[in-house]
Amino acid sequence: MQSPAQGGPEAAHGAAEALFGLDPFWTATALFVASYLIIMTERINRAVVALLGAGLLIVLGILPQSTAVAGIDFNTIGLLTGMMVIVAISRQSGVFQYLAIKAAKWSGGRPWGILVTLSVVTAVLSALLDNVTTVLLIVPVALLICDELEVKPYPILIALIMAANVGGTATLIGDPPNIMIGTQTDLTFNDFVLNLGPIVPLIFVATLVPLYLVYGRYMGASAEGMQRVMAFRENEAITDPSLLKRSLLVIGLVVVGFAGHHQLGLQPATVAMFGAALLLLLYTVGLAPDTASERVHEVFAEVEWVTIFFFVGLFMLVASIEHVGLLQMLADYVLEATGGDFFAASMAIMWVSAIASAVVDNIPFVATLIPMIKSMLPAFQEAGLGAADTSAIWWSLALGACLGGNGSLIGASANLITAGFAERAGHPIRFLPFLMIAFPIMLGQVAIASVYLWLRYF
Amino acid sequence: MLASDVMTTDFFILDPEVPVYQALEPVWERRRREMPVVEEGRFIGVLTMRELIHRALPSYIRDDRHFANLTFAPDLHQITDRMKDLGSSTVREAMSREVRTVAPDTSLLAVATALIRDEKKETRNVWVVDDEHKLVGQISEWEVLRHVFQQLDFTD
Repeated sequence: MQSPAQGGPEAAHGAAEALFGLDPFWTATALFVASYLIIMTERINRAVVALLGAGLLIVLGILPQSTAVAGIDFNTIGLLTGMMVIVAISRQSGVFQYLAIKAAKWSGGRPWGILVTLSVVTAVLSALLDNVTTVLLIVPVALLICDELEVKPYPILIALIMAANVGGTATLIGDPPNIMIGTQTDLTFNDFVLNLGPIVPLIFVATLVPLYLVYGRYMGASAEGMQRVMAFRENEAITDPSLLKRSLLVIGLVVVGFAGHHQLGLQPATVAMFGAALLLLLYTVGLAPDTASERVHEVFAEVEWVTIFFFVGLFMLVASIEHVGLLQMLADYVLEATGGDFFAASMAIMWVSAIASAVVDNIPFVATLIPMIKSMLPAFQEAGLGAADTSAIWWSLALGACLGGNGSLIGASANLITAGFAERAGHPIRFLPFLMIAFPIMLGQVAIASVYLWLRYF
Repeated sequence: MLASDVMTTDFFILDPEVPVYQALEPVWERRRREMPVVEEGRFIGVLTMRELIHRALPSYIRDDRHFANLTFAPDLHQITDRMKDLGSSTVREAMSREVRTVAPDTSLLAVATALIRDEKKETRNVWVVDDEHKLVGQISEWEVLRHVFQQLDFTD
C-alpha cells in the first residue's frame, strides 16, 4: 500500500496519489479512529467532526472524491429527511398530544396505568417515527400529566426512554441503525416487521416487569390528581382539524407505500420523499405564493440538518476505510475469531453492538459494521449456514444496536433529550442511578433477543 | 433624527438587591412593562413583565414550540406557585441581561432597526447609554412613532 512520495500541493490533482507521501492505509485508519474518538468526547459537534475528517481524507488524496460521494447512502438520508418533513408538518395539528392525553385517560388516571399506556403510545409512534421526535412530542405531555397528578415523573420518563428505543427496533424506519441496515441491504420494510415485529412486543412487556417491581407498585396519586387528568379535554389539543386530515391521509399513504415498496420496486427513501412533497403541497395549496414559500421554508428549517450532515460525513469516513482495505482486514479478523461459525458471529455481533451502543453513539458503529458484515457474508455462505438464513446476522445487528441504546443515559439520543427535559423541569435523571436500572434491563432485553434468534433462525 | 431626539428620560429605575414583589409595588400604578436596573450608576439589566410570565411557565411548556395550545389542561396553580418563587427572588436574579443598547448619537434608522430585530430578545425596548454605561434614555415603538408623527405635516 506504499504510495510514491509526492512533492507538494501540485500533486493534488492526481486524485489517486496521496499528498506528502502519506501511507493511505495508516492515514485513513488514523483519521477514522481520531474522528470517532472526537465524536465520542462530544467536545466538537459530531457533524463538524465527521465532515472535517472526510474532507481531510479527500484533500489529502487518500479518498477519491467519486468514491466518497458514492459512499453516501442517499436512501438513509432521503428517508430521514422525508420523515422529518412529514413529522414537522403533521405535529402542528396537535395529533400527537391528542394521542398521549387519550392514552393517559384510558388508564383511568392511575400513575402506573399512565406509565403503561404512555409507553405503548411512545413505542408505537417510535416504530413509525424516529425516536428523538417521539420523545420530543410525548415527554412534555408526560411532564404536564405528572404535574397534574402531583407525582414524580422519574419512573414514567425512564419507561418512555425504554419504550422509544424498544419500539424503534420493530421497523425499518424506527431507528437509525435499522434505516441504515434496511437501505444498504435488500431487506424490505415487511422483512423488518415480520422478523423483528414478533419479538419486540415481548421485549417491551419484559421491560415493564422490572419497572413495575422497582417503581410501579409504589406509585400512587391522590383522587383529585387522577380526576384532574381525567378532566383533560384531549379534543382541544387538536389545533388544526383540517391539517390533521391531510396529515393522516399522507401518513397512511406512506405506510402503505412502505409495506409495498418492494413490490412497487421503490426504495423507502423514495416513498418518504414523495410523501413529504405531497404533504408540503397539501400544506401550502391555496395560499398566497409568499405565505406558501414562507411555510415551506419553516418546514425545511425544522429538518435536523446536523443529523443529516453527520450521516453524510460518516458515510464518507466509512468509505475511506473500505477503500484502503481496513474494513476487509477487520472482517477477516472477525471471521477468523469466530471460526467462520455463523451462529457465533451473529451472537457476537448482537452482544458487542449492544454493549458498544450503550457506551457510544450507535450510528457510527452500525455504519462501520454494515459494510464489514457484507464482506463477511460470502465466507459464511461458503462455510455453510446450516438451516439459518443470512438475514439472521442483520437482525442480530439491529436488535443489538437498537436495544443497546437502553443501557445508559448516553446510549441513545432519545435518552439525552428526555434527560434534558427532566433536568429543566427540576427532576434530573442522573447517569449512575439510570445505569443501575437500565443496564440490567438492557442485558435482559438482549438475552431475550438472543433466545429468539437462536430458536427462529438456527 | 438621533436616538437622543426620540428617547424618553422618564423611566423607573429598580435596585438590583430588592425582592421583585417589593420592587414592583410602585410600578403597578404606572403601567410599565420594562424597568431598567441600575447599580452604582451603571445600567446592568432590565426587569420585564414578559420575562416574568415566561419564567412562571413550566419548563416543558416554555421549551416546546408545539405546546402553544393548553386549553385542554386544567389549571393547577402552576403559574401562581412559580410566581411566588419569582416574587421572592431579587431583581438581579429575575432581570434580563441581554438588552439592546445604543449610543445617544445613533441614527433613527439604526434605532428603528434595533427595535424590530431579534424577536426572541427578552426586552422589547432599546436603551440609550453614554460612554460610561450610564443610562440616559429609553426608546420604545411608541417614542419613535410619536416623535416622527409629530414632525410630519399631514395637512397637504
